[in-house]
Amino acid sequence: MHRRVAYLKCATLALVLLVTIPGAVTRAQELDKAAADFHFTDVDNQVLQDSKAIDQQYLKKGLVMQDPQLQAYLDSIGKRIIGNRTIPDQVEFKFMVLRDPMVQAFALPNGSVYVTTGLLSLLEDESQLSAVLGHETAHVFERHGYLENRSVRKKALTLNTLQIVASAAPTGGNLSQSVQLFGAAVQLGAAVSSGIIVASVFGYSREMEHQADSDGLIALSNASYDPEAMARAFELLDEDSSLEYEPIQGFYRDHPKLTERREFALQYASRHKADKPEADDKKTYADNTAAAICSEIQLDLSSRRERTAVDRASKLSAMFPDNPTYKVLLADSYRSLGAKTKLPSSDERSKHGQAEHRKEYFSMTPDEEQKRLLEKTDGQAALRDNEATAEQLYKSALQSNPNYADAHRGLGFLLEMEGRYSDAATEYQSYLSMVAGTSMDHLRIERRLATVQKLSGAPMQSR
Amino acid sequence: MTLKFRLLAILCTVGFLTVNAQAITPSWSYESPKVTSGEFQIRTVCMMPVEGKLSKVTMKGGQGMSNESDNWTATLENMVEAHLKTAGVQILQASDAMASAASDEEIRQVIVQLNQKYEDVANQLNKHPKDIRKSRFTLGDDAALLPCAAKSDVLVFVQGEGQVTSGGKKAMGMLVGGNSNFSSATLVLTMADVKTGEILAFARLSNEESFGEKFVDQTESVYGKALDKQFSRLRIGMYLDKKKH
Repeated sequence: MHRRVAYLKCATLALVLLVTIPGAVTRAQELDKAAADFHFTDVDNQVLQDSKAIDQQYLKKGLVMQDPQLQAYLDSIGKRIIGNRTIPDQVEFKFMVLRDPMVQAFALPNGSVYVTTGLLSLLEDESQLSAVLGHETAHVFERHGYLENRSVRKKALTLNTLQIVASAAPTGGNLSQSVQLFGAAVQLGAAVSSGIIVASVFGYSREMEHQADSDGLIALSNASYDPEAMARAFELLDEDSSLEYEPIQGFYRDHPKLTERREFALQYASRHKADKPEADDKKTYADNTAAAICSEIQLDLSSRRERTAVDRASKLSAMFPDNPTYKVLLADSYRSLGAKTKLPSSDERSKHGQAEHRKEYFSMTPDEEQKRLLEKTDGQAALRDNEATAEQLYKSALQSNPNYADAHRGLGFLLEMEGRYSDAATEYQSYLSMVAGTSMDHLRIERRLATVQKLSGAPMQSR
Repeated sequence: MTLKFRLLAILCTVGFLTVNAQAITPSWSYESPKVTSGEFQIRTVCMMPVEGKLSKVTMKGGQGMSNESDNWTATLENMVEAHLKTAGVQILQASDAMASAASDEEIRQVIVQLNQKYEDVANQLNKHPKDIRKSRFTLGDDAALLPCAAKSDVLVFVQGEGQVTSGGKKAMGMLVGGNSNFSSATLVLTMADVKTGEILAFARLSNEESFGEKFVDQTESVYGKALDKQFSRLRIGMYLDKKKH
């Protein structure tokens, strides 16, 4: 009996493999052929125009970072990853950094490759960034943007036709509803932006992503980077996803796929060790991407991602312990944490906890969230700890450089928050005496100084 | 074809189109009593970069309208600024360094940060806009980082989002029902106190059109009057003086 069940299982598995493997191979071959035989149609030309327009929009909106050191670093890695491959028609590779806390990278069909500050601040070294660029450039080489757009158009047309047929059919009600429900994702994506962006950000088809991973790994090897870096990048993405609630989960955070992709990268790496593996220099990476990481920390603090800010600033500060800028950024991050703990509790990580967090994110303002946390003893303890850590960091930065204006300003904010108005006034005065009247924050601090001076005359207010 | 049959066919068509045609939907706005009472006066505004996003839905799915979006953004910006000027309000640009020593890159960073904060606040603002009256929403005093903050009263966010539905898709929508038988657009106007960041006004002007896309071609005729009405409610610029006398 057992033997019969085992045979049956084997037979089923064989049947499944017989059906799926040739299918997958055929699909991969089809993709290769499609890229090789690619010819521009009117639809593709429209996609190309859209890509160029998107580039312009990002630039116009000030989303593209323009830091010479960062740009030179990114360009050099991009050049190395592309190597001496033939650049496809109508492609001009450009590598850019987007000011965006979402952990993401994507390539437009015209060759513009974007990496967000969110992703740059998460990665640890050059080879991991190369893995990301290898994957993204593969989408461009393989013409995935154009092919996916054609495919989505076909699907949408079929869905619409089905919808008409369904509405006319006797069982129209239910069928129509289910088709609408299914089509909602495509329609929503289409309404948000053009198909290429949706696919680029939220992922192409499984086969295309697999092909991009595969090509990316080959490019990594060819550029003498360790292919294992791709697996490590996937690992980091997986670990980081538990730090913060995210209203939108991008493709790079797609959990089950991430595990599979990591396994695939590890398998490849075990077979193809780089000829000349480079010594991973985390410090060089952090130094070259510091502008993006600092920008990211500010963006995190502006979008209620204080835990991420603490994480990124901690890394930077640990790498360059004598740099007062990074120390102050870390202090700012601890100050902004308020009554939140540095890491989410196990309750917050549970399914129920995440659902609660989601509810709070959409229903409470940051102040209300802090007030709610302070109702509990845990929250009060977290606030005390965070404030103490922040104060110690500000003071440490001032010890190494007493004329560091930003440290005085941050300390002033902290003391004002604690209700120590007179001390806050002293710090604000120090800040104002050190910066020129034309500095960006002059006006704000002058106003704050006036407020705390007024308050310091009055009796101390409880929080 | 007999005359009776023709008349019947015309009546049916008109009836069908009337049922499916969508009227302009009502717009709404919420303001802080500080503004409507005249306690907080708006004479100079700092314009954040206007965002206009258009997308097209066809039988073959979504299509980008990047160039059209660019043009629409410029149209929206010109229109809002023209109406503000008519109301006697002085306009400054958030991206302008003015007399400060701020670099373009620093200003860009602050603008992106403020937009992030705004997006975050918008999550609650969209759900409970009435709470503006209770001073519930704020961007924080980061707003004062912009060089324009020194000389303005409020920061103005203008966001337009439109969905252009193709003829085929509209026809399909009419056949099968649902909400795909019209093109629609929404213009959101938000004003925040430049010193404290408090959200003082939030207006949403929406419209849906079964035929054509006037919000793209004739933006002024669609939103112009609603904007004047909104500015009058807010008693900005000359409207404050008018009510006084």
